[in-house]
Amino acid sequence: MTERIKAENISFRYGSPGTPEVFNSLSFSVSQGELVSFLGPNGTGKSTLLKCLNGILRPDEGLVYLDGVNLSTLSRNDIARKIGFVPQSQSSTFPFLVRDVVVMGRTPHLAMFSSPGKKDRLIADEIMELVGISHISGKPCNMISGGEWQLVLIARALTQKPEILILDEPTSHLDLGNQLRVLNFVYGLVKSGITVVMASHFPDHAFLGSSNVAVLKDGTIMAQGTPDDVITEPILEKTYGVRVKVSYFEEAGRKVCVPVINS
Amino acid sequence: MNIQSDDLNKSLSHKDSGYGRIVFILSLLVFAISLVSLMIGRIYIEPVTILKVIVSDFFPVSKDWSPTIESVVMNVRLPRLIAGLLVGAGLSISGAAFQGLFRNPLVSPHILGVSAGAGFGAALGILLFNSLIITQIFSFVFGIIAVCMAYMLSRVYRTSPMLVLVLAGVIVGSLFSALTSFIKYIADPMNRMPAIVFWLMGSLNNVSNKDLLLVMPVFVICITCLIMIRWRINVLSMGEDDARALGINTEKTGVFIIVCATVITAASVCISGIIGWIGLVIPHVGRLIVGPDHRHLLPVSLLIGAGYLVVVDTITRSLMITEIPIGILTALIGAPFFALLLKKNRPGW
Repeated sequence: MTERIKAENISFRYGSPGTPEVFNSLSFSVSQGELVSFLGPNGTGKSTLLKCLNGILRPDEGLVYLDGVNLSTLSRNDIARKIGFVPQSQSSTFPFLVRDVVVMGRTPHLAMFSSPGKKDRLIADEIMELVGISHISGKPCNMISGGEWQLVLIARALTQKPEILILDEPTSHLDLGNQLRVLNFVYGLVKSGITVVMASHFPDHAFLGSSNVAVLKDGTIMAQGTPDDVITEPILEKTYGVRVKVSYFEEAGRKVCVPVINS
Repeated sequence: MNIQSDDLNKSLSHKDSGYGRIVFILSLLVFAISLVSLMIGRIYIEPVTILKVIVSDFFPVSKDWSPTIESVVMNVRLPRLIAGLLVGAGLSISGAAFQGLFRNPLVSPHILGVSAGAGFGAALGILLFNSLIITQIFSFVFGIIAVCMAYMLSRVYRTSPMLVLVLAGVIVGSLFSALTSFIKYIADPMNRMPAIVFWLMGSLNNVSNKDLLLVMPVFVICITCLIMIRWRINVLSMGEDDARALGINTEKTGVFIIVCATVITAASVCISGIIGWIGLVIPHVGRLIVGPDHRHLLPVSLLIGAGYLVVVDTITRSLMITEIPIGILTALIGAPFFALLLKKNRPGW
């Protein structure tokens, strides 16, 4: 399998040299068609790591390669045509209409001084249909639910027509049903050939279709491998600091993780 | 589903034609306001005569008007009208661009310290030389210097430079305001101090044809640049990380917008003094009419701002025998008007 993204010994710190690093000397790679999940407790730098992978942030040490090319030599446009990014949902300052937000995904395909044309609007319409948000396309984006907004952000990233999609906790604000709907949609994307890198709070979700899982804790990758190898009771307990039971759940047809509350 | 998307397309095209119609109506309105502004003054001039006087510069028209009228139109009212249109349009479009760039509906084009710097430059020019042209040059140059200082100050920090830039602008602005106060304090209280104070309150009284020839290209170029980049302001207003992920070089694009808006504002201050309020409020009026999309908001703000400043300027010079400083009236008329507009229910900014 061809390697799409490769990180080599990357370290990152916010602020001046000497301040503690968010993570230190991480190395891993993401291959074509994979779904890689990053797990870990709050504040371990999952978001920071994802931002380094598409060059929003630049690591202090180490290099990130996209298709074998050093990421820092590529323009924002070059990167955005290959990598779509779904940020942790932050509401928009201005109440743009949903379709105006989605069509922003066409930006990397537009010249500096041009606005999206008819073709771009059609692509955006198509993606909204695919994601299932056509019915809200004319609504101001601050008058839709959190789940719908998450789908809008996914649609915006897909409108970039990316080969790789990076999602930063796409399910964090969603209810049970929407979580599953979003994840199912993401697995559909993986089946259609898009490579996905995702950060998640829920170890459960990794059993739903990840090909690779990495656990981030205290600035290092604590464990890495297939979900079955990585999501085990001892590792989860070390990661989250609580006892977790991992067992096969007959009715769901997969393994589930249940935190155990001890007195 | 098909029916729904048909409806959607209809509403989409309806909305776009609505925008076209709004631009058309506003353009007509600005033209009418301009004509009325040329008519009103110490002497009333017939609209037909005005048009004939202006046209006679380009086409041979039999002159059936007095040279006084010609002079009043061509050397007094027309330059003043053009300056009003340019400054109003420029401040409003800069304000709209800044509010998008900084993701903050409360910023104005003055936020990065350009006006404080330009005001200081003008005060210094009046104090040292008391010549109009030097005052104007000083004011323009110090306006630019102030923003450069704010920009360099903000570079010290690595994350979230846009937020820090606003803070740096506030810091630089208060520094220059203090310096301006100091100049007022040491200036001759009989002549130069009042000159400084009146200059800072803003007026279109001093604009000459010569000034206009110099600043007009500056305005036209920078306004055109902002109009051309307006789609990217939409993307930038989603936040720096999002904009970068969507393929925008946020640093370069941000600097481009800041340079355009700063040059416009400095040029405005240097010909008309500090006219506050317009750059903050007109974009809000624009949003009430066409919504937050900067593709529509920038052209509409430009038209509203141009018309509004000409209306206010016409009032300042015709309401009383002595002219009221325009900076006072823009706020006196604008504040209650804006308070009324805010009452209207709408989704966010």
